[in-house]
Amino acid sequence: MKNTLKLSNYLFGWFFHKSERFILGISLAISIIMLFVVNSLYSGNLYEHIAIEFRTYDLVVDYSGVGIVFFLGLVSLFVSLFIQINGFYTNGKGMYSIFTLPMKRHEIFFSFFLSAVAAVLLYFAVWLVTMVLLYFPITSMYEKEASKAILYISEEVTLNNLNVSITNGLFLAFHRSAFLSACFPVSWIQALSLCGGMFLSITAIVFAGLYNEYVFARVALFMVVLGGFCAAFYCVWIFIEDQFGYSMKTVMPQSLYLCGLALFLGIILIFVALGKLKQRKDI
Amino acid sequence: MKNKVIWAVALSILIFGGFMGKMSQLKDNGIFYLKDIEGQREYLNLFPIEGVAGDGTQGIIFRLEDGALSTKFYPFDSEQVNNLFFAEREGIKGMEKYNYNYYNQDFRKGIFASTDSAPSKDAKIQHMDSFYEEIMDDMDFYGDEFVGGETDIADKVDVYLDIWGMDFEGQARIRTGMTLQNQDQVYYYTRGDYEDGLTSFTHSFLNDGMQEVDGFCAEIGDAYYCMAIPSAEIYGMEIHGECQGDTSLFRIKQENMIEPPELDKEEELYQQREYGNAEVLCTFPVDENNRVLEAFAVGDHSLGIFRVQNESLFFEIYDTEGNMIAQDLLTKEQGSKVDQIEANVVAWNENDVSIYFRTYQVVKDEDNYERWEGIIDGMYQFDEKGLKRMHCYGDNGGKLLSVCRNNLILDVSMVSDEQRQLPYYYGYQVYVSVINGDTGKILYRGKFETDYDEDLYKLFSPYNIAKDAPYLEEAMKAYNVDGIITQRQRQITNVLPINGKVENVWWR
Repeated sequence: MKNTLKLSNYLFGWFFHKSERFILGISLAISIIMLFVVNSLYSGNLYEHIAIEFRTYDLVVDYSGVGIVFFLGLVSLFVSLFIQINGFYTNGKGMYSIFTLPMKRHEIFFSFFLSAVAAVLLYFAVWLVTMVLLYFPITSMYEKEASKAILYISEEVTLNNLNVSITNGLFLAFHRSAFLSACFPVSWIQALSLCGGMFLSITAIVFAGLYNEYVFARVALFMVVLGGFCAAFYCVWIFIEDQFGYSMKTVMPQSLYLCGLALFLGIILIFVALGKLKQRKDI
Repeated sequence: MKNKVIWAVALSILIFGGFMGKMSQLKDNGIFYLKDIEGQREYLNLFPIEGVAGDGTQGIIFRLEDGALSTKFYPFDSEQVNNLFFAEREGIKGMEKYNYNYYNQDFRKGIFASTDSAPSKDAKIQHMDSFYEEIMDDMDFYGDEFVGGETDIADKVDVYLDIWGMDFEGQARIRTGMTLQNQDQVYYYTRGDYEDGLTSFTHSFLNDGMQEVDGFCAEIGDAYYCMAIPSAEIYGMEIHGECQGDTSLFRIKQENMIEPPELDKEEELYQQREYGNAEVLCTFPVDENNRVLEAFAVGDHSLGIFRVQNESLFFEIYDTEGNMIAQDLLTKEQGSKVDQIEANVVAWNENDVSIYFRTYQVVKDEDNYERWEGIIDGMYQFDEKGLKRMHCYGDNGGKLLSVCRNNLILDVSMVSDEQRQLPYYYGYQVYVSVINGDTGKILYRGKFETDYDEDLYKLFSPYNIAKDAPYLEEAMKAYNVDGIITQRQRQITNVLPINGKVENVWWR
């Protein structure tokens, strides 16, 4: 266990300095710019169909497209995780040094797995903190603008000094925004498929990185990573279908089934990966 | 501790845990309470109610019992919360309730009645050895061609009632006593054989969507009670006087329901047999002066029937032996106008039933569009003391729930709040009132205070509020619904009595 933690600490630190801090930094910087500038009250009316003074945080987040940036960042994170692990084979044959460490092979696998889990968790956590913190300045900016606006209801009736503040607005934003509700679920029901899907994807990407024998097996593992993503963000499809397709699909119990299936597949993959590593004679 | 992995994992878990904990705390911070406006809230004690409020992304199931309002939050959209609501009402628990779909379940489980027809015994039948080509224009066969078939055309047909038991177990078939006869109408039964020589298409006039006879069926005790009810079109302007004979209220013992017998080859187009041993309980004439409009179960021991005799509209209650136990004359003059009836029946218990009804005249305009004009609305209370009409209660519009009990009426309505000075439905608020059924005096009035105000301004989102924008009222006339925005407005979507057995006859 101690060895696992030590090695994972090294791997995580190396990965964070090499890739993750840039992915996090760039994706968050772009997102903050998009939230403030693309939806800016002063940069022209790009979204004419929505009166900008009335946009709530969920609308600002969804219409700004930060969800796409988050997703691209997450994909980059997985790609760089694979490149990092695979790099131990291709750049200097470091993998052979790792496998000569006084550790059991399953401890080596779990070191890689733990460092990948830490990297993904950190990515989600920093994004969550940023999204929560940004709620306050952005909401305040729109509320201020709404208070200056005049609403012409009819020839005789006009409204001014509009108060568009929302009680419990932060909570509602994390429910109403497709991006926020899918990536940062506020209830365990919604979190199920996300956790299961991410577990499967992380397991598959670590396995794909460590396993360099057959290219087709790696391609299959990339497909599993994609499958994990689909399970993780399943509720986005539900949200889109329900909102735009007027369907009545439910998050539960499919979320539970997907979580169960993804966890089961992930555990199987771990056993297969451990078995394969033990069988290898070249390292 | 120097291990960065442990720090990263622990910090992330702490952030997620803290976030979910805070959100769990915030879920009860929304505004939703009952504000007393006038009267005493104790009057609500007689009417325990529950309902659903939500906005398309999250919602609550609320319960108002003994004047106290409690809520339970669900992170689902309104339809999903509605399904959970109905599942809980049906006593479904655990994971199964998350899988429950009210609309599918209801049709699958319920007893079901439909109608069809067959030529009368004394009808003149014209037989043709070909498919009835005249319907090709009315129906879309996607280019199909028929290479053979047969057709029977009758000048007079009988209407039959088919009953399916729970979960489609057991079936009964009854000749209703109604006949259709019209010189201008072709009563056809046809079969077309496809080119493959294996498959064929059968069709008859009664299910062509133009003339329908509804089937009513209710389960009371160990028997099914059923009746064929001709729709307004049968009596309608174009085919006036076509429907003749009578329709009866039948009783079929559940033990008499059988597996439908194998059809003979000559019964491929229609069948004239009956099975299920139906008993006739009472009979009503059916012609241009006598019409049955609606039938439904009233509690566990009786049936209610709306019918028109000459110009008069009656509401009658029959016991399970077919004896009329109560009758009320709704109108002496306007009965002939009534084409449709909507009835919401709530059985508080087996002998305490509330019936809220609306009657309509269906008027076709120049473009053949139907317009429904209200004729008479009202409410009945049926309990151990008998049938009583609440004369003080008429059409107030926008009702979510209208029920009565012990001479008191509970009204849960969406009412436009004029003070808000907003156009159309945007200013609607939900009021709860208890009214004395005899005097019409309001004994209690309260309002569900919720977060409408917070969402209100988003409704104006499609309109720029810059100085050169059109007036909102004008702009609203060209309002184009944007699903993602409109579905985020919080509203109360369902209110039903707790434990009350609810039957919306309208949806039958």
